[in-house]
Amino acid sequence: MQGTTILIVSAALYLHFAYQHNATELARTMAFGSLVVSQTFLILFTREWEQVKSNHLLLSISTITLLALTLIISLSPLRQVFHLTTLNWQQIGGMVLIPIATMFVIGKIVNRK
Amino acid sequence: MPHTLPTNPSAYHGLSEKEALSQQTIYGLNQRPVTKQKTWVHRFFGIMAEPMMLLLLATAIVYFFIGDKLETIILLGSIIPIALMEFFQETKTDEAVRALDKMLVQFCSVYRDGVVKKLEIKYLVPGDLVYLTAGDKVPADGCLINSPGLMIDESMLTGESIAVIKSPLEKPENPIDENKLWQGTNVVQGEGQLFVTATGAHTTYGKLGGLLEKIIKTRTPLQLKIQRLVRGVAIAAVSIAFFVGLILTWQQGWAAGLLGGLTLAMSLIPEEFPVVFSVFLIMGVWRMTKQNALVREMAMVETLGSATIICTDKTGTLTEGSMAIKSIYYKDKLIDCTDITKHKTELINFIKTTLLSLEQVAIDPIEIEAQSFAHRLGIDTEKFYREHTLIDDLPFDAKTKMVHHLWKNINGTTTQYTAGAPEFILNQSKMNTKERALATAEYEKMAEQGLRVIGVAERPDHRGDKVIVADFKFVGLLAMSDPPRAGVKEAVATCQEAGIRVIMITGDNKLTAHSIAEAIGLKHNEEILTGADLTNLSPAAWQETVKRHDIFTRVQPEQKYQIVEALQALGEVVAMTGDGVNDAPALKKASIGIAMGQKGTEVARAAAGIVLTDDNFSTIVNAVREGRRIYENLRQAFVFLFSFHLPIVGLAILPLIFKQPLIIQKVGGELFCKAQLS
Repeated sequence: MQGTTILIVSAALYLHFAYQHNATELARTMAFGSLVVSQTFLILFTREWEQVKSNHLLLSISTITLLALTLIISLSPLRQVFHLTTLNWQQIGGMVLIPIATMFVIGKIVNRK
Repeated sequence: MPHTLPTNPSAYHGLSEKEALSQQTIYGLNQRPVTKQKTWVHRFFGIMAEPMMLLLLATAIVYFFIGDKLETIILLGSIIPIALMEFFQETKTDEAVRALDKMLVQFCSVYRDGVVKKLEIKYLVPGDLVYLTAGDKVPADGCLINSPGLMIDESMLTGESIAVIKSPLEKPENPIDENKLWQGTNVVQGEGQLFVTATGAHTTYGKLGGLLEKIIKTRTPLQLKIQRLVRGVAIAAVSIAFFVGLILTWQQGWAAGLLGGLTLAMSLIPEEFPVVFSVFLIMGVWRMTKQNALVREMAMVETLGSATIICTDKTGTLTEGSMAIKSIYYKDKLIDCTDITKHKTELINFIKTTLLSLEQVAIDPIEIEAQSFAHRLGIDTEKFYREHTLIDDLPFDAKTKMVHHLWKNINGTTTQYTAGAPEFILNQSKMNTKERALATAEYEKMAEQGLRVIGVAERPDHRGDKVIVADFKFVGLLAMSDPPRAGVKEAVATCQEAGIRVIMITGDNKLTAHSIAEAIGLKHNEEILTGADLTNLSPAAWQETVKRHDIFTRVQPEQKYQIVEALQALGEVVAMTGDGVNDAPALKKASIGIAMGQKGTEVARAAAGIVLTDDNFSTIVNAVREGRRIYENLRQAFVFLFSFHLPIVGLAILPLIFKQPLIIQKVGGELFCKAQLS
């Protein structure tokens, strides 16, 4: 279920930008960014908050991952290696908030199970 | 290799040094054939041959050939530390186990050229004559000669905790089991000479070690799962890559198709699996070592977590492995010894008589407990023995089953004190009918509870300076049991709550086994089976039997093996504990063989996947708990890894369906995401 949901989020963002804006690199950046954000927050949301707070290694790795994503998107040489493009604030908001909200819901469902 | 027994044992005085040397040339050293140690090359290739490592290596090779040096370096960079961690962990564990083995180097007293010499047991040869006394370990197989009899603890070989009586060889042409001693067993009472008939690999101990080499170890459940997983993932990755490559070739030409297909295949192969898997297992091994469990095979960590049945020995694992006084029958009254403050005077009087009837140098578990009990009652045993003067004694005799000591007391009187089998003590004691009936009834009641009972008698105002085996005054009965270890009851309850069935397999009798099962709260079928009940069973009958019964007593070594085999045929994951040589085949056959590090034999440790350094059942439960934790962590990690790979597959195929360029590029986000998962 987790994998399918991440696929839906990333694919939806990809297809939206590929068709609506006819921009392949932008679509790829959105899909790639949402994939990373989804994975990071899925790990955090499927654990109890107390567990997350006490797991310093997990918090550190999650922070490093998001920081690296920021660098890849914002630094031109890295951006070129990954065939990505720059994003405006609205696009960044979509790439971050949509996966976070979806993973929050998935986390609730998984934890209830 | 039976060596010819001397026709006149009493006239035999052993070998000369020259004869011994010539025998050694023929028969070799008295030691288990040295198993070939794995070289570091073997060990390293063993680690690399694991399916997960092969997957990682194969992926690195493909990356190398498509010219992606960065991916190749990263993958090789992750293989080397994992392999090194596994390598050093295995080496460290093997060293710890070898250190335990080295602690067992022992010496014996052997007659060479008619003189008693101290000799390392590995230099013993058939034909040697060895002097044995209480506390010695029997150094080779042979026959007892020139002795009134010995009490031997054969638990290492048979699993029976109560010492057996051995009598000297009378007919050299027809030795019986009662005359034979086996290597690795312990002398607990008496003294005598052992005529060595077999050494090294030819002893019963040595032969069992050889048998182990023939047992084919099946793959662990985890190894099987991984094999299936790797195969499944590889087939899926190749099929999808081939399909995508075909579409791309059709749309954009063969070069784009080939590159797209390969790139996708690389994205789909979960090369982070081995990293996660190895790190989790290594951490598990490290944690288990801290909890007194040395893990010899890494996959055992996860297998422990899947254990559905624990087959455990009783003596020393569920119980303390030593005797504790439970009650005494003294002056027609049964006194419970759990609270020594009650009836203290009677207890002191009785234990003083017992001390004087047993050996002063305590080796037999009964002697050890009697002296320890005396200390608990406030008696200074050293001072107590100094106040008495030993005049004569008669060591343990296999025929009379009694020991006698004649002491001059502090007040100048002389008393003979005797201890031994209750029926013999009662037979030789002068008592009225009522007293005899009462004592006999009490003895029978104690025996029914599985207690070990000894009778104590005396001959006050003894005349003369020699022991007389007649006309005793009955003093009382001493009942002992091997109590459960602390924490075992809770550990058994934890197992049962967690759905793990505990089966007790012991060399002891039904009564003793049942009383321990009750004491530790082991859920069991009231019908307790003995080894005799298990003879000639068909495979189907074996399976039915192990399904319904939980306690097996007086079990033969091969029957332990058959129990494990029948349980495995029913689909159970069996953890088997053991310490003796007799346990080794079953330890090797079991999904998880757990050997005892303290009292276990070298053979048992060599056969097991896990060695407990504290011999405690509770440690097994802790290890199972740790195994389950690791299993759950691995499961969660794999769920995350799959939830990561599924979107990649989707994002690779979707653009093709919608005729868009590929999202996944060679150095795409894959590696980036994986870093956080690992």
